[in-house]
Amino acid sequence: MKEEIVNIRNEAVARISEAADMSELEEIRVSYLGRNGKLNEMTKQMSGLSSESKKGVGILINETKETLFNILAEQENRLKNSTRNWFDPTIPGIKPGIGHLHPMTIAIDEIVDIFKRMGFVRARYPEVEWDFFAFEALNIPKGHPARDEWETFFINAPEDDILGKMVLTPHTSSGQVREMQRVKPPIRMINISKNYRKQADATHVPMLHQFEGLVIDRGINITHLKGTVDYFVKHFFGSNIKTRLRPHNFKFTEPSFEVDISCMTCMGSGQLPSGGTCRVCKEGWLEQAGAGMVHPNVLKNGGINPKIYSGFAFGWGVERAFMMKPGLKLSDIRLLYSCGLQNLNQFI
Amino acid sequence: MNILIPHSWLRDFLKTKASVRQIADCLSLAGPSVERVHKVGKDSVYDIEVTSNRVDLMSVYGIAREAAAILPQFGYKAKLIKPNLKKLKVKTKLDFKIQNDPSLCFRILAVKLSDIKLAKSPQWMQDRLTKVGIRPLGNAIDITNYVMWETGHPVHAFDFDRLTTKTIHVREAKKNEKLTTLDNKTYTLHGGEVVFDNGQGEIIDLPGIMGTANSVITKDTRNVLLWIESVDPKKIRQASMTHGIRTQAAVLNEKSVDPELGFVAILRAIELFLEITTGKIASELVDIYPKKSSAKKIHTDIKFIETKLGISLKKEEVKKILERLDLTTTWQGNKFLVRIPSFRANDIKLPEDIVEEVARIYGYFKLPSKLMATALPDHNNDRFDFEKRVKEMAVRHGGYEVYTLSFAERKDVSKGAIEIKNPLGEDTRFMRTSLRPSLASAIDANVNEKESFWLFEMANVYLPVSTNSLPNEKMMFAGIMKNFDYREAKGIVESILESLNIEYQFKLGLAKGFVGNSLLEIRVKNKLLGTMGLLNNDKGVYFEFSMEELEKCAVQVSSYSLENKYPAQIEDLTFVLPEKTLSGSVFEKVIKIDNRISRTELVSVHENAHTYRVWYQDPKKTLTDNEVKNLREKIISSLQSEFGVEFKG
Repeated sequence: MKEEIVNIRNEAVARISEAADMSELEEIRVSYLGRNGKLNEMTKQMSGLSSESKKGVGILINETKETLFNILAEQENRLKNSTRNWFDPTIPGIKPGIGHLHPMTIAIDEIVDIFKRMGFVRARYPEVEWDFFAFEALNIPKGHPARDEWETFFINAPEDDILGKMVLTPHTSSGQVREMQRVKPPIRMINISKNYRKQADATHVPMLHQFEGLVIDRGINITHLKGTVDYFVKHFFGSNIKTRLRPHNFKFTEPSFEVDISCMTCMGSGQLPSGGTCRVCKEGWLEQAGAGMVHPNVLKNGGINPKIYSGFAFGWGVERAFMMKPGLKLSDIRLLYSCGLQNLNQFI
Repeated sequence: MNILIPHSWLRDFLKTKASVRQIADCLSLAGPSVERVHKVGKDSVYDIEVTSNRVDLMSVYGIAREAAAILPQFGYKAKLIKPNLKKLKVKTKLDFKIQNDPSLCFRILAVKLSDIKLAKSPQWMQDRLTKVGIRPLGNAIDITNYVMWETGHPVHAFDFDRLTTKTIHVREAKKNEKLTTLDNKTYTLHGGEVVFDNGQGEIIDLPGIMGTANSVITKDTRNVLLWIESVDPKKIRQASMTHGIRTQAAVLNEKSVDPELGFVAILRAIELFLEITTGKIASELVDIYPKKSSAKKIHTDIKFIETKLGISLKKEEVKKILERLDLTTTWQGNKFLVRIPSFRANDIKLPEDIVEEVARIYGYFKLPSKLMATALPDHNNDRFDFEKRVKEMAVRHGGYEVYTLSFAERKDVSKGAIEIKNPLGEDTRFMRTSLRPSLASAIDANVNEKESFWLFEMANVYLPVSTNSLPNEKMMFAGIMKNFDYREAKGIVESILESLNIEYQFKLGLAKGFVGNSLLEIRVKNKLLGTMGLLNNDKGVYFEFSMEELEKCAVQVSSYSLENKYPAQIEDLTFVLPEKTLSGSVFEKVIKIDNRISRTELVSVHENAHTYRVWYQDPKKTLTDNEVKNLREKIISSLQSEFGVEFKG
């Protein structure tokens, strides 16, 4: 009987290796390994054997089945790899189109998130604004040289007796008195909107975005301004970035400061490793924002008593902050407003 | 404004062992910012930014005085070297008539110098002028520039002999009067400019701004009328700005140069003329100074300063800081009186200004950083959160966000649009009334793109309200889709609206700029949310929505509904639509036929044959074959009677 089993195995092996397609292979499988296949026939015939030979034959049948299974599988793979079942997993994929937000939105969201954690409330005030809110209420009288600093666009519209000319607001500070008129202290405003200045070159676009912080309450002092600015800088630019306040002059704050952050390009040294002077910064510092304690006249113009309340404010360019992000290397601000896909696709 | 100060020149007035670097750093932290330090030969030149309120710092002496006040706070000894100028002893009357208008000119100083020898300036003077960016032109002119840079007060030198009438009459110019400045440019005056008249109607100077060709020094000058005036800064500014004559003198004078400084400046100029041009003093020093301003005083107290700074201060420290700045104090307990020197009279006016002086010299860097521990304001950030949500939905649908400028040209705006008086160009003359032109040009920037893509923007449009009120700044969400199959493009809009849980309807609409019959209005009940359609010239599919309306109709949190436990039966039904049937209305009809039709989709379109996939589902039980059959027949008969469709199977 053992001999018979060996013959069946040899015969099956020969047929499997010659099989030309999957259906033939299946036929062979059924005839040898199926329920009524030749090997199961042999098993049925075992009943007549002594228990000793039963054991030997049983082992042989099982070994044979295992051998045939393996050979069948090998031949199956071989057939699949041949013509009709060819599959090429190495072909490049087709990528789905994914959208992306503009970096300005991403920067604004990040800024808002940081200030929200300090309890600030977001606001947005008119872009086409009255001179009163843009200048006059901010303690910048008509004809004052300070007005030159903003290259203001004027609107072709009649002048209002009280509010003056219609302008495109050159800064978010126009939202200060508007916010004071809207709510009473405590005020913690972060006003983000578009501003306009008559300028256009590689470092200027006539439209810009600013974020303006305004905090008014009892007992607000310079240490709070420092703390708020520090908190923002460390979270936006990185924990290793230093901040300094430099004396400056704005009509609507007293005292006034400029906020500088340490330069990421030269690590605040003003010198490049190659020995040259760092061109990105001024002596290791980057000018970032204007800030100060709200001028008592501005509080009065907003209907707030400067004897009871005090506050601080700062105005910061979104573009200026964004372009200083370490590693960004965006040198031309105009690229932010370019709509070419080659440009846009870099913003992912 | 910036000023260049050579270190060597600064040392004439500042005695200190602090290095150039240390001086630059200390000034930046507590005073004017030193933006850069340039090496020029062995010398260093500070490039210093001076704010417009501190015209007293626009000179070598001014910076020396400030540095002498700041350096000791950082531990560097420093002493200001005050100039020792000799008063004039000459008593000869000046044979010259000066007719002043005290409302236009606050002070006039004049002296005649004779026997001037014109030549090149000595090398040291030429070097110093070159380092600060002034071209040496000859000793007499160089001296006036040199003194201006050193003291901060502009000085003028007339050719005495060319002033033939021996008269200067200070007056306002009349409209259309003409004058020719020393650089031979002729200006027609607007009227109101302060000018000097020779007493016979001829203008012989534009004081405080620039000399005129008919009175300035020439190569033949022998006698000089050295002159200083303090013209009303507002008048200077107006004339200088409207005529575009931005000389250093005008830049200084428009910012209220201290009239007291004039005396120092003229003495210094006389000293240099005697030394360099070998001239002689030929007259007394005339000083017309009708309203000498008295020193201002400010009352404040140390508690006020402490409250603003958020730290406690010692009385001695405050006193020391202020006195180094020439702000003398008189104390009564914690209260004190500050006397303001003339050179800070226009800058220090309020107790808050005293806070600033104390704080900056004390050092902002020494103040701690704290966060406010006061009450929180009410928050209302909903519309910003909604904007973020819409943008995110657009991005999920593959949109690329763009930012474009808010401007537009005339042909692209609606009537009454906000017009800019002083635009950068014609294409940016108006504030846009739609995002469409901006997005259409964004498409033009990508003409060579073959694949489908879409851009979106969320920005204000500026809709005119009336001529004397601000425009309505309306936040819009708009997009433009290129190289898309129309159904795919429309599907994006539909899917965004659905993701905002808005139940909308489409209605046919009309608008310019779109392919005929392609415009759809998107409405909720009767409220118009936005529009979409095919733009002319193959620009793609454009849509726009009012953010305000979208927000009103959007459901922030959609309530969760349990999964239906009875499975739907799904089948495809094909209908042939008669020619020119608007398929949307047929499709929308199907779901309205019976509430057991839970969902429908348009699966395929082949010519006029539209195949709908229909879901039959009852929330309470599994539908029997017979019930489904009845529903199917209801659909068929309903569509046949309403639209005349033919059922294909």
